Amino acid sequence: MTTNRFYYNPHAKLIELPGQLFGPLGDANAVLLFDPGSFRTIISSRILDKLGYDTKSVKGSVQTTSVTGVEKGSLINVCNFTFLDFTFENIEIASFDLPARYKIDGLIGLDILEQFEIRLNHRGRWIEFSKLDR
Amino acid sequence: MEKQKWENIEKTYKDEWILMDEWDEDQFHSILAGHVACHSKDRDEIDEYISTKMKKIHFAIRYTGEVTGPFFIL
Repeated sequence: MTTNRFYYNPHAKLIELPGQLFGPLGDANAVLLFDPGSFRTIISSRILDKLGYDTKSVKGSVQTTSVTGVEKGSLINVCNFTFLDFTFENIEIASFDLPARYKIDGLIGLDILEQFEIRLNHRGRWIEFSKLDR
Repeated sequence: MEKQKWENIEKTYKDEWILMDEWDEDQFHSILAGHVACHSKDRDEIDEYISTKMKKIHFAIRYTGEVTGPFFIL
């Protein structure tokens, strides 16, 4: 079992995790929120478009309801996605037009988080991910 | 290209979007230092820069102000 402990920004009000996204045109280092309140992992279509993904030609559509209202997105497969130093290949994520005011590139939701045992120490400002063997 | 420490970038470009085309990161991909290719308070200008001026799609984007996210406690 691989375990990573990450000390997150002690001044941030949310838990921001660094991630890497790879696409047909290149790669990007992105900020992703730890969000077990989200069923799906969501990546901003802004980033995906720049990496060469066609977010208009999709596997399916998806809708989410949050406190800010109902938003529509699409499902696409990302060829390579990394957060901390865990890598996922050809993984399905949801692409949404996340408003710039959120200041993030995406959310890591339960579809990925369920693959880990997670320990959160908010007082110490660290989060530990242990990848479960399948 | 000269890289600046992330702490200095935060101080110099307060509450702005930062686009870096080269950067140093730790084992978890946290950015330690980077070369600022473009900075703006308007995220659309960052996207425009990537589309029109970057020859190679290799970038990191950060916001130097507070990250709010889509969920709020009212």
